[in-house]
Formats: sequence, C-alpha cells, structure tokens
Amino acid sequence: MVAITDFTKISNFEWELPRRFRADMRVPVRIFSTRKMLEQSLGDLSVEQAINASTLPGVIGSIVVMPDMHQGYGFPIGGVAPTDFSTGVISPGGIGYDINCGVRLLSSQIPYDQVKDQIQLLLQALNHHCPSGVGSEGCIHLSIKELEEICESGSRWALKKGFATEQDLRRTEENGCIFGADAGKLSDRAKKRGLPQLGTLGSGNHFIEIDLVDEVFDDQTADVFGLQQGTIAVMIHCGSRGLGHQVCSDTVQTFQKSVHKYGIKIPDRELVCAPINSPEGKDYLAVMRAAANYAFCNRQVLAHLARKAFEQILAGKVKNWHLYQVYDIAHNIGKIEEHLVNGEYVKVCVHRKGATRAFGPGAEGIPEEFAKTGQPVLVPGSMGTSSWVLAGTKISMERSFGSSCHGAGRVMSRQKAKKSIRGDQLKADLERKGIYIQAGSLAGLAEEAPAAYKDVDEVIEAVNGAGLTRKIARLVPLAVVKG
Amino acid sequence: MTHKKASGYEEIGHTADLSLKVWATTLEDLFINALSGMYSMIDVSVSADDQLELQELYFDEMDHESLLVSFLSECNFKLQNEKEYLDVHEIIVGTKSLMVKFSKFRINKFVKEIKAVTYHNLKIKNSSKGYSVVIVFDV
Repeated sequence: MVAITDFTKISNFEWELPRRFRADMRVPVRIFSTRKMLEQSLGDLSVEQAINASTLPGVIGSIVVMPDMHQGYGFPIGGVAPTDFSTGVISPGGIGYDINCGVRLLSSQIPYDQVKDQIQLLLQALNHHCPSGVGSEGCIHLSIKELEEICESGSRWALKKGFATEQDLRRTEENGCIFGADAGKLSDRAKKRGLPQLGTLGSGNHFIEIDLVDEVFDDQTADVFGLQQGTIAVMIHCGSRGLGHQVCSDTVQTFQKSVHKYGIKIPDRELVCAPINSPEGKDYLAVMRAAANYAFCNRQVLAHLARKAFEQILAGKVKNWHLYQVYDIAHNIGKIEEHLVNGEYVKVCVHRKGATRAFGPGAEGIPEEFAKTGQPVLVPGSMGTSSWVLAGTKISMERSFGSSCHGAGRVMSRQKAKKSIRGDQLKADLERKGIYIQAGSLAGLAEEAPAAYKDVDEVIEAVNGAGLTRKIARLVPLAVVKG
Repeated sequence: MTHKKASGYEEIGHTADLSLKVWATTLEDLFINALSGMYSMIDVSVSADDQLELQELYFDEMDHESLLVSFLSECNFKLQNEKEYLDVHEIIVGTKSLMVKFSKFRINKFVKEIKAVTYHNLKIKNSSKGYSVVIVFDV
C-alpha cells in the first residue's frame, strides 16, 4: 500500500515517489496533482500501476502521472512512460486498446445568441449524420485497398476525397499521418473490423458535443487558436474503433511470448513489451501507427459529417456557419520524440495513455502558427461540466516529457454509476440545465454521468499550477451526442 | 472462496472498465461461466429460432490464462463482427490447448461494446474448493 507520506512534495502540484520505494523500480514516479486529488487516487490501484510501469526495461527519467489519473489495466490512465529508444521497450498496454483515442475541436464564428433556438436541431442533425452507439457502421464503404491507404496516409486520404481542408491537416498532431505505418502487417481480423467503421463514433465515453466558448483567459492566444468568446464550437472524442482494439489485442497476445524470449520480468501480464528495436517491437510500431492513422482519418470524417450537419441547419440562416479546425490531438499513443533527460537530449518512445501531448512554444512538430503560443491542449469535461482549451508550455517540455492531462478522470465505477444514477433522470436534469442529450443507451448515459468523474476544474488547476499548461478558454456544453 | 453457489460469476467494481469475478469447481466450467458472465455484462439477446450449424474451435496457447483470453476474445469478435452467440456444448481444457464444441445463434442485439479482454492481474487460482479468476474487460 502506498501512503501520502511515502511521497516527496516538490510543490503544491508535484509529488515524487522515490525509486527506493520498491526494489524493482528503475525510475521514480512523478505525479502532478493537488494533495486532495492525490489522496483520492490512493483509493484505487492507479499509483501501484504507475510503480509497475517504472519497472520496465529502458524506462528513463521518471514515470509521469497526471491529476486525472485513475486505475486502468496494466498502466494507469493518465500515465506517461518514456523509454529509451536504443535500449528500452515498447508496451502496447502503455498505449491502450483504443489506439489514438483523441479529441478534435472545431471553432466557428457563429454567435450563440443567433443560434440558441436551433441547438436541438443541430443536435438532431449531428446525431443523424454521425453514426454512433454499439456496433455502429459508417456510410463510407471501403475496399481493403482503401483501408490500407487510410492506415498509411491517415487524414491525407480524407483530403484527397474532399473530406478535409489543408488547415485541418496542418492543425492535426503529426499532420494527421504518422510515418512508418505498415498496413501490410495488420491482421486480417483488424482490417475486417476497420472496414465498416470509418466515420463512426462508437460507444462508451465517446461523444460529439456542441459547446459555447464561455470564457477566454488569453485573448491573443485564443485568437491564434481561432476561438472567440460567445461563439459555438464542436468537440469530437473517439479513436481507432475495432481496428485499433484488434491491433492491441493481437500484440498483447503475441508479446506474452516475447517477454520470455527477451527475458523481461514484468509485475503484471498486461505490461507485456518487447525491445523497441526487436522485430516484434518494430512490427508493433508499424501496426500501432497504422491504427493511429485510421483514428486521425476517422475523426476527420466525423468532422466532415459535423460540417454537413451544420450546413443543413444553418446555411442561409447564419452568415458564416463554417467550422474551422482548432486542433486534433491523440491521448492514447506511443511517439518517438527527443527529450532532455539529465541534461542530454535523448530519443525516447513516449507512451501516453490518457495523457495529451502539450508541446510548448518553439517545440518541433507543432504548426508554425502555434510556434509562439505552444500547441493547443484539449481537455474534455464530463457532459455536464466545462471543457478546457489550454496551451503547452516550456515547463511541460522539462517536467513531463511534453505532456499534460486528457480529461476529468473517473472516480466512480460503471457498476456503481448504473446503480446510483438513472439515465432518464440524468437526461432530464441535464436538459433542465440547458444541455441537450442524444444517447444510444440510457444505461450507458448513466455510466458516463458527471458524478462519475473528478471535477475537471480541479484537474486544470493542478496542471496549470504545475506550469505544464496555460489556460486559454473554457467551453460549456450545450448539446451532446453520446455513443 | 466464500460464494454460496459452487459455480457462478459476478460483476465487481472497477473505476474505468468492467471487472468480472468467476468461479467453478472445474476448469471447464470456469471457462463456460466466464463466457456467460461476459455475455451477461454486455446484455446480449439472441434469436432462439435462428440456430446456426454446430462447430468446433481449437486454441493453442502457453497457459490457461492465455487460453482464457483467446477464448473470450474469439467469442467477443464473433459477437461484434459476425453477430453470433456461442452456445457451448462441450469444452476440453488441456495444459496448453482448448477445444470448444458449440452451436451458434444469430443475435438480436447487444447493449455494451467490449474493446478487449485484458491480462490485467489475470491469474486462475486453484484451491480445494475449485477454481476462480478475476477478468478485466476494456470498455
């Protein structure tokens, strides 16, 4: 059991569990959190899971954990695990089954006051155009060849098909395409699962949300991001669907043998891994990137469908009804990046599982227009609470491998949420607050109730207090399509 | 184990995902109960009149835990992608192999989507009262 007294307090928002805490730890665990939230997190297995991640071969610097952390499987959600590219391992459990689950934010110049009576119509149109829910299938029918092209070229496929703009791609992490993907290495089963699902939201905690830009904290940066107070925005949260799940399942199964082959000892079988430069590690990188590209394209197609919904309801009624990309980010991913570790730049594989890249001003890999501001960091709330737009900082590059939080973070189990919250009652309560809901399942809606999550505002106070990000704008939900 | 019945399953709390505790007096029943529990959690309904042909499946893995993950993952794939429910008639669990004889039913619907069957802290325990395991599913 870990106690709060086992941690060294570095600041009000940063805590370190030293390497000596457990004999098999290779690096410390660094947690960004308030004391209150850290104490709350000690109630589940998330800290123990972070300690387990610190035992992986080649892990470097420290395991970093964000304030939205909660218990996952293998790694904690909200964890960042950097491993040395030359000597370290890659672990599919450190990335997650929903590879490149992420968030896209679209802004507009539509004043809320002009469309407040049409929010429900917009919600119905989004629900009609964007397939969601268990087993949902898309309206784009792909051949295997097209699917393979998507997995290797990501959002560029969507641009070619007229589903994207140049700005969309420029304002997507990795420009919507991670190089080094090899669709030829995907299993037939992964391809089969990916064929019917492009342009679908799925279920669980995935959503499309219409938001109001409620408050802007930094006018200059908000202007660069394209956000104006009092206007409408659209947030999309989803990932690589069945294709990504299958890639991770295939690899976790294969790697059960790899750990024996390479003599790697792990405290939990969900932490299976292989040296990054081994044939197994290279194969996983190739298919993980393929799934990540599918996810970028999936969110791009959903953005296209959201634009169609807005056109259907607002064209001819509002002067400029267009939706513009703010940014698209991954929060379940493994990236090869260079970071400063003990005074030296080192090439590392940064596993982010429920953590968002938060590169600061001047960092390589962010669009030119964000060079002075740092990249947008998109933090969705929990249906009834705020969502946040932050900007990455130089401190995040120094303290957290260029990473920040990804959401509010769960505190209540799905089972308890279903028992204590009624979906129909929740829907009615949210509607009384002016938040309209379209949900595939009322039981599923109850599982995702705001009460099941931490207070996202507290999470934001912690990452901002630690200096990992800056507040740019707060969004409040007006309508939600829940998968 | 302190369960009233010698064989069964129950959903237990997990912050983000779904967790199922399964117990049985034999390994074979443990696998069958795990499948029943998974179907129960995702609330699958089948068309009883729409029985498809009798089939067999074989798995070869390194141990019982890997066999369990492979078996449940296969059933989850058949559910989500083939829209098929497996009614197990016979199951033989070897040290590193598994044979399942089953008939398939066309499903009407299922309410929850399981992304994956995980290995998180997966350990089949054997005591004088039988076998037990806790399985975490990513949803």
